Amino acid sequence: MALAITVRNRGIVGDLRYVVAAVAFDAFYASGGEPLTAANLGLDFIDLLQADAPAGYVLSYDYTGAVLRAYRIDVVAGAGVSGADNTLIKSATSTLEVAGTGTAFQVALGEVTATNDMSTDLAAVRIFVVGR
Amino acid sequence: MGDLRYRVVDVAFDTTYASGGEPLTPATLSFDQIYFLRAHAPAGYKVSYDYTNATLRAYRIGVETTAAGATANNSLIKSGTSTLEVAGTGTAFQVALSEVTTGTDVSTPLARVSLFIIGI
Repeated sequence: MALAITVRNRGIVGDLRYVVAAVAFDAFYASGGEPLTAANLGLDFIDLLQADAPAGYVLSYDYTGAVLRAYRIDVVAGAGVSGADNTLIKSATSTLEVAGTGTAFQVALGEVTATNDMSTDLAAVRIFVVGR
Repeated sequence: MGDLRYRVVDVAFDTTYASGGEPLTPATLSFDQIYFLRAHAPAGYKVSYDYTNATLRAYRIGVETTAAGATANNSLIKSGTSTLEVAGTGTAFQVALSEVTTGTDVSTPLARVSLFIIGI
């Protein structure tokens, strides 16, 4: 459970240092995100990390936990009771809509489930890091 | 910026989304090579750069047509805690955003996509 890191370029800008790297996720997504520390990138501290995620994923860096987290649409298991009024349907204007008398709702993307194989979808993620 | 160059540019998608993404080569942006490209997509879209094929790809939530009969146990519903849930005995699943369908007009939602590019 580790990211493969390939540093493509590093340098200095002002009083900061930057790193451009390619990272590859492996076949077992770690619970809570893949570890990615400043030391992994040859830095002492990360001020900003931007990740360009391919394949319809969203990536964000957890500065507190020093992990790179991957997100996608998440649908949880059923509780065993269907609610016809809350069933999702395509509306007349091609949006998602709750049928019947269900109320509107919004939900954020969900983090990839631990142990999922991300080695194909996230095989080539570019990151730009500014730090010290 | 060190031995690299950066540019901030805005791009506009047109009325016919190209299969596999809109071509955007380093030369188009006056670079020899792009090391990193970050796109800020408006209107709920996600845009990412395909470094291998030099295209800018746009994503959004995709809902496909049915392949067979509907299964009540896999109907999607709003759960009691306002999450997405499969009804009945269906199992949980996750899915990434889908690339915009070829030929789609995204000229309005993606009329201004800001790019931050680092390269040489």
